[in-house]
Amino acid sequence: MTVALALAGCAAQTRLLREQPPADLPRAAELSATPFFPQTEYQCGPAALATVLAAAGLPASPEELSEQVFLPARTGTLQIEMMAGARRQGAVATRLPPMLEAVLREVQAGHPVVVLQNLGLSWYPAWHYAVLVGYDIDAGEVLLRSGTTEREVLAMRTFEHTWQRSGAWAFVALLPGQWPATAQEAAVVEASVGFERVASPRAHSSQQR
Amino acid sequence: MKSTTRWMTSLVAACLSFAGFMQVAQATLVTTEQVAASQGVHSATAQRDFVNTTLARADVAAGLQERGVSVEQALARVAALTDDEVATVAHTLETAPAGASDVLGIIVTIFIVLLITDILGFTKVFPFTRSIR
Repeated sequence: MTVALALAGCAAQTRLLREQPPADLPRAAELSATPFFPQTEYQCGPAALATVLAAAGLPASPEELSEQVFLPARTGTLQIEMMAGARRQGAVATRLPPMLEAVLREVQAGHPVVVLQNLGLSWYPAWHYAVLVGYDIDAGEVLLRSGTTEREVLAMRTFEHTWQRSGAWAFVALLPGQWPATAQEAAVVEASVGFERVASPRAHSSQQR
Repeated sequence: MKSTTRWMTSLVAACLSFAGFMQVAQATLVTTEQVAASQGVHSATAQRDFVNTTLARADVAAGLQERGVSVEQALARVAALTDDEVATVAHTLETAPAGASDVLGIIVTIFIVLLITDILGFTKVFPFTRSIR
């Protein structure tokens, strides 16, 4: 049913959330303590990554991360390299289900979420990484650390449009041993496999617990 | 025997006995399957996957270097990718979305495009334009 809604477009998930909010999801949440790293030109990827890593307790500067994830010839950062970059800093990077409710639940659980948006059109895309740090179902808004704006307030339906256009891609970067509130088994396995590739022995042992 | 003959005999005997310890070096091709087996990969499909992944990793590393990443960073970045990720990235380095956000540039471009189409009379987005037609 949700697939049909998603295909119908028109920010259907937003409408559904606002008309029939889940009973166990608080109407609003904001992770105001999430750090902010204003991006420099083309560097939204390293800035977003630095944000979630610092929030997880694994601080790294955007410049340092830029060397690990930025692809100069593409003047941007690839999605897979974003997750690999988080891994190299000692975080477990887990993909989230492509549902609006899932990312909101993650925020409610205290985990800021890196999202990929297409701020432009499908045939003229403007790819952009931002960090979802809050939402307000009643007001129909989401809060993002985005670009050079520390607290960007975006209409939830606009967020849904721009996020759907990227395939609803999102991930969280957490310390080993913590898991996202909404991760599904396949994503968790993938995240573990990736983490094992680069983890140092100390980080590995805490992951095993 | 004469002393030179004796000396020669001892020398030849010594050489022959050393020769007995020598083994001819053999050079054969080590097959890919043997390399894979030494890595613990035994089934045919697994070996094929192992080879393909190794080649794909080299491709991705080369692709990253072509796109402006230093050699050491390219190798480190590829090493951090899982096999599945390598397979995905290998063919999409040029086409996959690359988050950047030059949003202002995009908006300016579209603005100019629409302005031109407005002036040419194909669109009527802006109230202040008068088409040339």
